[in-house]
Amino acid sequence: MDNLQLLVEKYQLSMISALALYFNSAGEPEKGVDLLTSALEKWPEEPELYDELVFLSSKSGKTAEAEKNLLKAQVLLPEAPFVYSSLGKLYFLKKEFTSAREQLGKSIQLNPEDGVNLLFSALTSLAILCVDERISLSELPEPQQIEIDLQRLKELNPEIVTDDFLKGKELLAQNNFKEAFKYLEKSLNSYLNKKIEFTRFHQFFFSFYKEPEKFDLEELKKYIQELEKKWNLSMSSEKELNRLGCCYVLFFINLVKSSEEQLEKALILDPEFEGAKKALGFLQKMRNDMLPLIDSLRF
Amino acid sequence: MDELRLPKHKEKIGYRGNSYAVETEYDALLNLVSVRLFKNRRLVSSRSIRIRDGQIEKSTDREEIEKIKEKIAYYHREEYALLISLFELSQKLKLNGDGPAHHSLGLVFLGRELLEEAKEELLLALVKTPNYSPVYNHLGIVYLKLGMIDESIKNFQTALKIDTGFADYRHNLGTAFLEKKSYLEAEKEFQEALKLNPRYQEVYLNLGFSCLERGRVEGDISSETILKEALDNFKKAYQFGFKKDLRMEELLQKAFTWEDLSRIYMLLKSLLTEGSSLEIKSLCDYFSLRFKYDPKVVEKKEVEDYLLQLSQEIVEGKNYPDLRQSLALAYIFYSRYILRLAEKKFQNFTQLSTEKKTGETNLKIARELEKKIELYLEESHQEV
Repeated sequence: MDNLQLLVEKYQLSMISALALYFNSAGEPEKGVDLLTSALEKWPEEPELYDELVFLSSKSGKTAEAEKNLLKAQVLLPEAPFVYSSLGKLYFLKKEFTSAREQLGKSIQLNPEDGVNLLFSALTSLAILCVDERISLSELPEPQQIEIDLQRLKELNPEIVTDDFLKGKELLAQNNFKEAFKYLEKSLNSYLNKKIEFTRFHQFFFSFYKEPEKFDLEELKKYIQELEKKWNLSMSSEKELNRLGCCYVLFFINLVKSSEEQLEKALILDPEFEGAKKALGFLQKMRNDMLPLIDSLRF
Repeated sequence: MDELRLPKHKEKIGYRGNSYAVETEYDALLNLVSVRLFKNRRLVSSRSIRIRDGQIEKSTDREEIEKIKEKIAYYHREEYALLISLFELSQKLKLNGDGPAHHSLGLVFLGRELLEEAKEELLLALVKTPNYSPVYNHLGIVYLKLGMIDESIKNFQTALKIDTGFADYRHNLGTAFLEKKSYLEAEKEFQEALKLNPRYQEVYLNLGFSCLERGRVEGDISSETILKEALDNFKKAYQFGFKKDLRMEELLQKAFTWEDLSRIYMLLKSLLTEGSSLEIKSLCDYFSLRFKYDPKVVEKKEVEDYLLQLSQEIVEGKNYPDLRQSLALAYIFYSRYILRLAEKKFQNFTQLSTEKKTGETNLKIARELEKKIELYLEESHQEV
């Protein structure tokens, strides 16, 4: 794999994020952390990068590096809720619940619409309730408040709601905090695993950029059909909707490529074919203009 | 197959005092859908589409019968829609068409054997682009098909005056002389065509035929020289194009009499007609015109079918540079629909998601890509 710095120079944001996920899926989350750290120098204001950094650093054990970057970001962007949010998540994953509670609280204050924060925050409170007896219960939100937060989370981020989540919520209502924590943590983990999963979708972009010879157009068409079907059945998440759009763009650029190939073949058959020569010239110029646009897609 | 009761479709359209009809039916024996075009009740052209996936073997299965019915209806609708859109295009071009556009439309009519309509478009092309040799060449073909041989010869000669280096023009002129029974002049043109393209199979075939006809007219059908000349030409025609066929090779080896050679000519001619690219080229011209003059009404499904048909023809042997160029253009035209789908998804995402910035950025990208494609198509149309 190329030098990480070179990767940051060569690719745009979304592809860097996909590459970090690729490293993680290949069993090298630490490489993903290094890549994201380099990327943050180029894009210090991208929330997705911070979140990904937190999750991968927790997997690789390189949490100190993530913390250093987040603290730096806090100085740079003191009003950005996502920095508090990522820092809170990091502290939670490091089991530093008091610090986590503080950071998550600030983030929720600045942006109450982020359901994932609410889950981290609920789990932090429960962890303290269960584990850290030094904290006085009066300093913690009422269990009823945690329940309200979880209800709100259900509305804001329905994709997080799993059977474990529902079970956790039920146990919470019964004041069985330890068990509730266990189930809610399970639902959080499954969310996190999904969040850092190197998916079929990422694979298409990865092949497009890194292994064009392995790019499978038929597979892309199949994937598009599957996403369309889900969308028609109202089963798509918002993220999938964006991915569907990105897949269409990828399909589009492959059609442009197919067009170019046909003109090249026409010219092999008749090297003097002026019409094909001109069309190919236009097309190549247009494709070169298009590629930076495609690099800038956000997914 | 009687119990299948596959329907025969028939639809009529009147245009400028003429009545046109499309008839479509299934030929169970050959497993073909036949689409026939009539003008004033006279059959002008027909095409056959083979049903590829072997439904006929499963003809007892109701589902398969339904599929065949669907196909018949589909091909019928396609041909009828094409006819209507040809007349619409003709009207449109009268207002704002340039010479090459009239020429293309003339070729589409020619591909459907609508000769008067083709002639009209080609003459309009000449008015707008007077020194464009392909128009004279195609006008020559139209006149030849209409039986106006002298007019046809004149047009081929004009095409050759403008562009001397085209084997096609020489060959067509030779064919017109052949039709006029001026065998020596025909053979002279064929020889000239072969100097320009020594692998031109149709020329060898016609040259051989001319020898045979000359022999017949001169009352010397057993002349060894004539028969040998004809046979040599047929051998070359076979060598330069047809798929290897052991039966044909045997016939070529054993050919001895004028009758043997006539039979070989008929067989080779039918093979050549089977492999003719006129129909698909005419379809390419039709779509190029619609991409330019009717882009908003061309439906995605139509382009998908066109892409499929064109790719198939290329794979099945019509590997010609101009067909590949048409395929290239069709891919680009089709890509617009895909971009629009992307735009729609990004719009939905922007409306539904909290990540507005992501949706808006992607939407802007898709729109910019679309602008570039439109610009490219505009430039391509100017080139055409």
